[in-house]
Amino acid sequence: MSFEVALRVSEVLVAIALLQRSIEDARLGQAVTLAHGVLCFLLIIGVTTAPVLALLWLLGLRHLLMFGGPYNGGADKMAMLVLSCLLLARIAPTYAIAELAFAYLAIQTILSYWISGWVKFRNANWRNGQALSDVFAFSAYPVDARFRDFAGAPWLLPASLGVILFELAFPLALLNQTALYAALVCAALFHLSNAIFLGLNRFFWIWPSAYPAVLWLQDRALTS
Amino acid sequence: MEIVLRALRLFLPCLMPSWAFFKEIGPSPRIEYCTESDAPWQPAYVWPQGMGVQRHLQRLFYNADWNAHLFLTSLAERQLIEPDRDVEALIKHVLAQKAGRHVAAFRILLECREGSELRRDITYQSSS
Repeated sequence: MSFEVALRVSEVLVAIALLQRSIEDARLGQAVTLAHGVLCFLLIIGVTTAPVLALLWLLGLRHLLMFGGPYNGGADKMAMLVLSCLLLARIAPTYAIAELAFAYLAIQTILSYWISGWVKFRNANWRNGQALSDVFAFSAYPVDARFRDFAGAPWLLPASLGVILFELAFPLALLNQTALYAALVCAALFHLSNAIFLGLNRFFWIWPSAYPAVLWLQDRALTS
Repeated sequence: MEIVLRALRLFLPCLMPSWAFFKEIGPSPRIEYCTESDAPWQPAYVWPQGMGVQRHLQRLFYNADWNAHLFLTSLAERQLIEPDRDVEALIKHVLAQKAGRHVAAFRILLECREGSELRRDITYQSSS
């Protein structure tokens, strides 16, 4: 995937993710939602991209200040990361710096899976399935009271080990193009399952906006 | 200058996140509130029972109430780690928006597993 195409696809995907978020945040103020919506639309159609990204970044910073941090944890952090890297890629004075900014996004995306897998791997409760059982038993996350019944289910152990293995092995997918596409599809499905069971819908929209950076980085690394 | 420093303090973790999701499954906060000093405590969020596939798919696109609940939970965690008047006021404000009326006080309970049993303890109560 070429740099320009990957950048554009990333911009479109982050705009969709931010549009989804702004609709949820509508209760915060109609004017802000409208401004956000207009900016996302402009980003999707590719009009005055750099200023639009800058304004979205400022609105994101406002969001952080308003709530004393990310409103929705990792999803909002990822949104700021994506916006920052895309903005820098667009305004960078040289092509090399633009590539570095996009590569940074790709590396952070890869790390988001690997580090997450590593911290789970190091925790015995994750390796024996107890942690995933506790998520369903008493954490704030299960969206449906009936999901509490999943606590102690026999499939939690293979599910736990499967997630750890997938996350730890993710960087290896960069060695092969087909493997990377497959890994990204699995990652998107992983976010989809988290959205369904744990209500983490914003993660499902924002993480894939960084996938074009990973695809580009692999292409760049393999061809250079 | 103070706001610039505050913005930087909030922005930098976004640029260099820890990515340590679900590192530990620790005690989980539950918030209850009362609208008057002698009114009964009400849960800030009541979990739905048995959502259908259509509802799950809808929540993929619009999940405002749930995300507000997760935000309140993160505020409660913050308040337990380092009690702060501003955070307490923000929790009350969010609860009041949700309840559609004034919130007199709230309390935070922590739910955790002890052996094979679950327990819930009151850990914090706000000022009235």
